[in-house]
Amino acid sequence: MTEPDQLQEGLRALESDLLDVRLAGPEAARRRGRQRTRHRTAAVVGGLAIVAAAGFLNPLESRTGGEPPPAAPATRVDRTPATTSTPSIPAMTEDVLLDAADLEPQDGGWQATGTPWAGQGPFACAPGGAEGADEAMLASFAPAEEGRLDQVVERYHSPGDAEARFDEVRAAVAECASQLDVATGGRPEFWQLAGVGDAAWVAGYWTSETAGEARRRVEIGVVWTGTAVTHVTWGFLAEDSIEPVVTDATVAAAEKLCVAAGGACVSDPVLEPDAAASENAS
Amino acid sequence: MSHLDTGRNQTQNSGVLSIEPGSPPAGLAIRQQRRAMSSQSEEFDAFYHATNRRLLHQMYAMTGNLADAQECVQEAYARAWQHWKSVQQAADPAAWVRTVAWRIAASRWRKARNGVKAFARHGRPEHSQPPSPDHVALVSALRNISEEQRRAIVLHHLVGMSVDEVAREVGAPVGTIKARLSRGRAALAELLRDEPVGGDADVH
Repeated sequence: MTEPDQLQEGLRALESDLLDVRLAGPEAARRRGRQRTRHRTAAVVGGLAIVAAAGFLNPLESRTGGEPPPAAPATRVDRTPATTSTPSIPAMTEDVLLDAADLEPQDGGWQATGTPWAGQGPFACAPGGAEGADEAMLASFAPAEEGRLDQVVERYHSPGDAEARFDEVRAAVAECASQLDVATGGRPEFWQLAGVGDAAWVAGYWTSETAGEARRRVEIGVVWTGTAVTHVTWGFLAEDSIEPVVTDATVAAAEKLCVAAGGACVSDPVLEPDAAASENAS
Repeated sequence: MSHLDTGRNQTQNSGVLSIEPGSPPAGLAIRQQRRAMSSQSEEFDAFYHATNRRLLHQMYAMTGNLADAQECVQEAYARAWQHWKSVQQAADPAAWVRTVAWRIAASRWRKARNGVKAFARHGRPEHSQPPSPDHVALVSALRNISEEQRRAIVLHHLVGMSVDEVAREVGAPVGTIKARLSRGRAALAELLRDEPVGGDADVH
């Protein structure tokens, strides 16, 4: 059993131990999936708030006291830059924003919230708006249980400006989340989301906020497409980091943005670990 | 409809879904939604049937315990259904389930080490035939090497992934995976040489 071939053979042979073993089946898994909830606390409901104001939202500020403030380096992701194949938005309407129905695949019971979100991201390391944008819009939502999800859409003068903003958000979130990692003992996860917009990136990390056994989990998706950048920040309380990041809202946000611009920019989204960002974080 | 005065470039949104002229009636929309859900269920079921035996086998080797493997794999499928739209989009949905199953197992081991209730067992699986002595020895040895060595060995030698692929799935540098494989194999060789057949130590 010491040679690799013998080891492989031995491991394969373990399959015979499973002959009389049956899992509960897909229907039971779907039933359990429906019943299962994250460990969340208070329910939050409300109406919808949208802020449209260039320069209204402060860039990349952290709201939670005691958390490290986000840095704002603007290093670029390796990619073929500046020439975009995705449509650009001439002017934004509310069609570029997610609505509650778009979020249904990502747990249930979402409602738009009436609480204005101004100036700062709602969670540690969450990006705010950019002062350099020509135009910016925001939508906020809460699920039936605890948590919130915010989407910001920013429109820029040129694709190059939008690309620079995408890189800025990505770098700032990665650096900030890596500092949080030191404080909370969890490892942030960074992913490239291929097949979405001109570039898309996703992060998942823990903050120091706690409620009983649960901690605050934040997942952020950033998409650059044409002259626009959209970022989606989802925060919720959970006991452990079991699932990889959920990308439904990020993909839906990109789809809405491109459909509003009269085109399409999503095809077969695939998550790929962002090794460079992870390496920098460690 | 509420207006939010931001002072500049004000926009509004009622959050109320309006029915546009030409929109399908509500009943039709509901039927379309149900059809979509039914299609998703069928796709999930097909995925489950195509992958569950293989994943159970892999998790059995990774956990060294059949009951634990069953529980973790079934729970991972439940979570896959919860996020089925995302999981379907993953490059390898089976790898998603395997990773989640592993994290469930690792999380429970950590809790067990911290004195919290470990696996909620629903009875051990019954065998009409007991496992062969060779299997018992191998499983016992696997349980006596580190969790991360065991994971790397199973992914490389059972799943058939390259070292690079293991590194990507585990989220560790390639050098670390090589070291885990090398040390894990050496430890297994030692354990299988020294330990009496059937010897076991429940390290979790």
